[in-house]
Amino acid sequence: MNRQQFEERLHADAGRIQADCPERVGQRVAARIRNHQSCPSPSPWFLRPPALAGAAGALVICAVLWVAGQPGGPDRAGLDEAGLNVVPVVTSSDRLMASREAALANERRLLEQDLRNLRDQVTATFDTKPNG
Amino acid sequence: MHAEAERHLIERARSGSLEAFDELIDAHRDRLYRFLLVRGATPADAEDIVQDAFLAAWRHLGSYRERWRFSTWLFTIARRRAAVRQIDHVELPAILIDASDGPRESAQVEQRRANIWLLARELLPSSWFDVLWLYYAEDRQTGEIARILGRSVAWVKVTLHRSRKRLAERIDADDWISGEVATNE
Repeated sequence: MNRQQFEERLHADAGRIQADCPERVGQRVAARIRNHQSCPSPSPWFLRPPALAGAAGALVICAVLWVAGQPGGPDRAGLDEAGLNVVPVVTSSDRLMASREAALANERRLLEQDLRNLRDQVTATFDTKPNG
Repeated sequence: MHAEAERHLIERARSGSLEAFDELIDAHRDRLYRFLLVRGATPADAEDIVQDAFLAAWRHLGSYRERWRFSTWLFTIARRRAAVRQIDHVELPAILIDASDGPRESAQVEQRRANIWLLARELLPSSWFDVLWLYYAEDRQTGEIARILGRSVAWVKVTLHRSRKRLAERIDADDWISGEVATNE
């Protein structure tokens, strides 16, 4: 059985499944609607276009007010008075750089010390046994 | 029912016309009822769910959007109502099968061969069966099926493919076994 035959069989066999809904179902629905509710409820008020537009407008106003209410940055004169525009601020990267430079200088001192010791040992060896 | 006529009826029903809503009920109740029966509902349960679905549709007619067909909206409501009742029987009621076209009083295997949907109900998980039924028996698009079943379109496509494959494999196997038995006899 190929795909087309298979699909045709699904269609045909579905057509052979018979089921008629009793008419009393429709009558019961109509009776209950008459007894309980005269009109279908309209769409919820918060989903109607005016309500959605109002909500969007209110959101925009809130956003504008929030932005306007943010405190501004210090002005240039204030910065000059505080000296912040003159004296460079030491940042953490500056401190890191300084500590690395100190570590390198220390390393250099130790290396020079080692070289001096080595030179003294060589000199002492040749001083005691000049001809080997 | 023609789409334009249906839209007109919906508009009238929205403004409170019970006669228009009656026409909508008449147009859709049989297919809804059949869908519930093949999903495993008893006739009494199916009647109750159809009734509940139409009452809910009447109450919420204002929130219906024409992005989907009205019947798709009804099927979605009915499927949710059926889910609340946890209707998930395994076998398709044999009473649904039109015996005039198939063998009467025959063996179980022959009955399955007589109508492929009996085999599908037996072989496929409920959700797979729903997809296959809505696609082939109700001629729904995959997007509509996804809407009705509350799944993604990708899931519907994959499930449709798997359902067809599993069913086709079984039919071919049955045909092969049946043919072999006939040859041996």
